[in-house]
Amino acid sequence: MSRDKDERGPECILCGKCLSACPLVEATGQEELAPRSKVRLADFLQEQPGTLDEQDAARLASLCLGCGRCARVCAQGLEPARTVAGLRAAHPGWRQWLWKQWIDRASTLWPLARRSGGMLDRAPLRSLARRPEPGRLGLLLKSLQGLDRCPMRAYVSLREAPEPMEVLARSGVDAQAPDVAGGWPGPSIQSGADLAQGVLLFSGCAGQHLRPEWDAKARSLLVALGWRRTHAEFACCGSTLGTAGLLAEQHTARERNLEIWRAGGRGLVVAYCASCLNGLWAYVQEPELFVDGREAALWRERVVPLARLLKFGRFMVSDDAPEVAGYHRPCHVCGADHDAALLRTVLGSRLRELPDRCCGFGGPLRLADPALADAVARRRVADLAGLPQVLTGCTACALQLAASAPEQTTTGHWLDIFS
Amino acid sequence: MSTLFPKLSSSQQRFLRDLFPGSGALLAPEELVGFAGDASQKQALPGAVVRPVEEAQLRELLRWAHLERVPVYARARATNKVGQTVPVRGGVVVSFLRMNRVLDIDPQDFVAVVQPGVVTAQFQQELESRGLFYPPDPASVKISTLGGNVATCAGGMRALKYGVTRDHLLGLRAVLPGGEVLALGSRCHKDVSGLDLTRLLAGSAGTLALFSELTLKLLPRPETSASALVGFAGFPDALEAAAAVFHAGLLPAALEFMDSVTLEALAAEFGRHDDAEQYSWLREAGAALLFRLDGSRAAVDAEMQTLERAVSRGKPVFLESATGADEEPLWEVRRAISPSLFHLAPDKSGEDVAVPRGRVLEAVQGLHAIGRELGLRTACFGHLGDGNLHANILFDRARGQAEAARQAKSKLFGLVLSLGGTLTGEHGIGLSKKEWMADQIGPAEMDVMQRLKAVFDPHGIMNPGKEWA
Repeated sequence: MSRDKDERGPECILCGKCLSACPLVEATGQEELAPRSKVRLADFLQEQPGTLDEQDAARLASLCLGCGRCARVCAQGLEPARTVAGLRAAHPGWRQWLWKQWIDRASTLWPLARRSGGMLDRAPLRSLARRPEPGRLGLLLKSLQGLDRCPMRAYVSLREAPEPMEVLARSGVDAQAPDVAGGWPGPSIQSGADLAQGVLLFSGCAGQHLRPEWDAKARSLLVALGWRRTHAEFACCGSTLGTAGLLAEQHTARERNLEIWRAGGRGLVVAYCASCLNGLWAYVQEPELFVDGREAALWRERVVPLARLLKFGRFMVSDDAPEVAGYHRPCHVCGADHDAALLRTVLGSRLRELPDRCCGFGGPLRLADPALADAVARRRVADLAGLPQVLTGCTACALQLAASAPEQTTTGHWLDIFS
Repeated sequence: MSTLFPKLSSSQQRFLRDLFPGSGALLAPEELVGFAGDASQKQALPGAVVRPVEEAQLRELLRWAHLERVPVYARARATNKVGQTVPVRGGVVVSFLRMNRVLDIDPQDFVAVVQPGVVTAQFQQELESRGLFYPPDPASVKISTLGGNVATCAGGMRALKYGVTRDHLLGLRAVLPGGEVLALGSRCHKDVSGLDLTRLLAGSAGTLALFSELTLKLLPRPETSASALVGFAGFPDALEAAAAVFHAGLLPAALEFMDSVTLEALAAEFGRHDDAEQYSWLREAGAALLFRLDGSRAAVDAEMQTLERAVSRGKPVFLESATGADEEPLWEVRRAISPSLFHLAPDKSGEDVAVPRGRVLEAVQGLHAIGRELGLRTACFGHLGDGNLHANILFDRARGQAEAARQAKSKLFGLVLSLGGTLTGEHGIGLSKKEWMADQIGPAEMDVMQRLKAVFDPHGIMNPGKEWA
């Protein structure tokens, strides 16, 4: 590759692969929403400044689910969702526009807060809605969806699990501390038996505030696996903030989470949301957050899906379990899908993996154009026909599926089926 | 607003809004930007985009456009490589993404009726579960549409055994400028009534009519298939092996080749994958062939043994064979070629020339000689079995190599025509090859084509600026 090419960075070759990957194009037939069109629009704004109304262009650019599917098929390695985030961030009116959308729309988009156990306490959310904090955007968006559905009944129990050291070895987590001559700031780095002692649970916005039962189950499963849990006040993973173009807030959240990790001896961070995991792993794309490349690599290695550790257990499925449970693969699964692997182990032939489609949660698109996000959600809902139950491994997907699934289909995070 | 955007009059805009309500018509400049270009990377902004959902809208649109002399450009996924969808004279882009229904699949007639916007691979998948088969498989099969495939008479890898898209088109409904609809062909697999306008429209690239429905010929799905990817030290060895396969009496469903520069680009692409080790052979071979056999299980097993014996004539350095679902990774290598070439240079001119099958070696060696002469790298891959080569001239515009690339392209076309070949086996003339068209097609033939065009489109509103007009 030539030097000039390196300086310019990869460019869109207009091949059209991303059109087939984009859930918005699939659901609407609107090519102006395609990743290729957005990248082209971003280039056009640079090449021909002043020829487009920037407000209109920013609004069009905002119509992105942020699912990242286009990046996975792009032969040029482009990430159109980041291009969109960059456009949002650069646009001077974007921030105000975003919060105006929140103020104007949140109350009408919120579902009725009826749950089986009575009324959900919405007071903290209402207070947030009146004085929105940008850093809480992910929480706010998730609060729009699915909280009015009854939680799922548990029917799986963990009967036995190997020792944490064995789990670490079998799951392939590198337990060695890197050789850092001169040392890194903070406590000494955990390795080997230290790692097997305690973990930091990354709860995410939904687990902390909207579905605390997910967090409680994750904690008790970790205890059952033999891990001493360590409570940590992590901030938002940052992924929704980044997608929304709130890059300063994303950076702050990332810095805070890394400080917590360092203070805990750079041990294991366990998360149960595919989108949070993707958001946490994405920190390595911002090298200045880390002391050096090895620390970034260590972070990537030590942020671990709960399912990756849990799947070595032995489980019992009770007699009243549904005959079939669907599995919705979240868009943000990055690499191996450990949630699917766990559910295959636990549910065996009961598990039916659904066609690979976006749930339609859509992040900031929920505010910008909920009708578009719903068009995507309807296609997913069509796949659920006849299924008594659908599980997933992402908290945003779980809330979205709860909001859009037919009455006869119960939906939830896979944590819901564990007692 | 800038004059970059060719304006339609306010009454024209009103007409389009009324005919295509809601999100069916786009007129805002920021929305039009995404419809300017295609995989040729050429771009021009349209005045409007419309999204029909039914034939009646196409009739009304072309009645109006004919009267108003407004250019009309058909577009689906815009994967075309020669600029066939680029609206070089403004006017209206017709997006077929919402005409994407499969209307009928009939296992008795072995016929399917589809709208133009159906993605080809999705259609093929739907047929598979019913034991049916639609063979054309251009490299863009997962991302291009049946309408686009018919409009360009797309070829693909299975063309060697099964023919190109035109050979699987039994009929179509075509809307002409003025709004008249032609119902051409039938559901019969043989039909010689009248002039074969169906085959004329296949490959007409939107210059004669818009399609509203396509009637396609289906085949029984072969019981199984098997593929073999074979690496050789050099291209002459690969050609010797290919000749031995035909000599052994085999007609593969597909036979693709890759030269050494193509393999280098693929090595760069797959080298960054998690399973890079699997692809280490890409660095060792100087040429590769990719075969697919299909038919009954017993026949394919026997043919694969014959094939493996035959290719040994070329002293392979690598051979991997697979059947069924396991074949996909082998074909993924082939599909990855075109975008992978950008690892070697930021710009490329990819020409899909074809030569008589016996002249392939001369064509490939000639291309490399042209590249050496002009200081450019060249890569060649494609459909060895039918002589259709994808000859790629790699360059960097930013380093002032555009003119050398243009010269190389011109010399390549001269070489190909001297070998009795054609400027294009699959992609079409479009914008990219328009200036060389007269080198291949004589004045008498061109005159008949232009008169034919005038019969269909007297005011020249259909995809103007391409091919003949």
